[in-house]
Amino acid sequence: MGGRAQQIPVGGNATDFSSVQYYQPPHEQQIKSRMSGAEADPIEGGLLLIRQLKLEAFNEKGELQFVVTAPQCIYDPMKGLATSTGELHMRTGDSQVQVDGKGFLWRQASSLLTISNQVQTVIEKAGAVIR
Amino acid sequence: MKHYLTILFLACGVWISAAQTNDITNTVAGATADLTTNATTNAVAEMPALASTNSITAGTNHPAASRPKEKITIHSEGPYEMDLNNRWITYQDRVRVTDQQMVMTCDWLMANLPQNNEHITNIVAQTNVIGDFTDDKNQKWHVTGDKGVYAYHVVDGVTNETITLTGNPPQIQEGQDTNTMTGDAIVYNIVTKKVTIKNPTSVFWYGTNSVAGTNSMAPKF
Repeated sequence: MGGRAQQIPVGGNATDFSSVQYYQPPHEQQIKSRMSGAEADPIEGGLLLIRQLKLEAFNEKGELQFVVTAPQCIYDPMKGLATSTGELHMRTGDSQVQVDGKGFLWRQASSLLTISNQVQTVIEKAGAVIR
Repeated sequence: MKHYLTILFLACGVWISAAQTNDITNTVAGATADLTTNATTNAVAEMPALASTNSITAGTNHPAASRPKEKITIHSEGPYEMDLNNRWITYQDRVRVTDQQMVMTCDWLMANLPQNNEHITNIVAQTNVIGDFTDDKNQKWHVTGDKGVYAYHVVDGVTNETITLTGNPPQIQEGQDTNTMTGDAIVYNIVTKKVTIKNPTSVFWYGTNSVAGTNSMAPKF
């Protein structure tokens, strides 16, 4: 997996924004990540201020790997970078792992998420099987 | 992603398992003689299999059993990185892993992200690795080292699953006492439940829980 993935800005307007990244062949029909926001306002430098950010990542089977939510972030559509100094929350697709932190950078092309400060991960696993 | 930190918990839990019964105390004490003999060589001292009660093992025929909901918390000052392409997560700066029975701290923690429900294969905790565990009998254990590595591999149907502590040098200490052992590496084999001290360099182990059942307080080197 990995490698350079296709990035297709889906477009939208001031109240509806999403940007989708697809896997490379043979999984080119599968969404790798999808970033969306309730609002996207243009700011200086060709950047977008996205409010109510929702970032989802999927595996090649289309299964949700994690969801990141944040009150807002600044998105550079040319570089595929989303940044914020504010808080974020992340949970895995099965909701067993929750991560909170402050400040983040999402590199869309390389699928790399960096949380800057105060990272708190909570793992709750019910009924773990002992072999 | 699905299991990435869940298995981390498993790996951490293994250390707990290693300290959950008096059996490890006995086996550790039992190994002292070998360590004493081999302390000046490149020997590998291997302790007898542990009879831990809650350990997670492979290859047994026992029916699967459930245990209560478990919770683990990992805190770090940051940064934290999750690389979905290369399948790694990294915690940095004052990493602290806690659950009901243990606290482990280190400066840097890295784990691979398995896919498709695969088993995690590598976890590395590095720099100032310190673990404090309390077993079911309220016995406290303290381990230190510079690097802890969890590794899981299946070769020809045989599972190899170990935790190796190295550097600084690695040390195991029992409770408030001065019962300690050090060597080049402390290896816990999760499958066989054996603890191995590679190239043991020093041993202080008071015999209150020795296999022979004596209460000797003579330290051994």
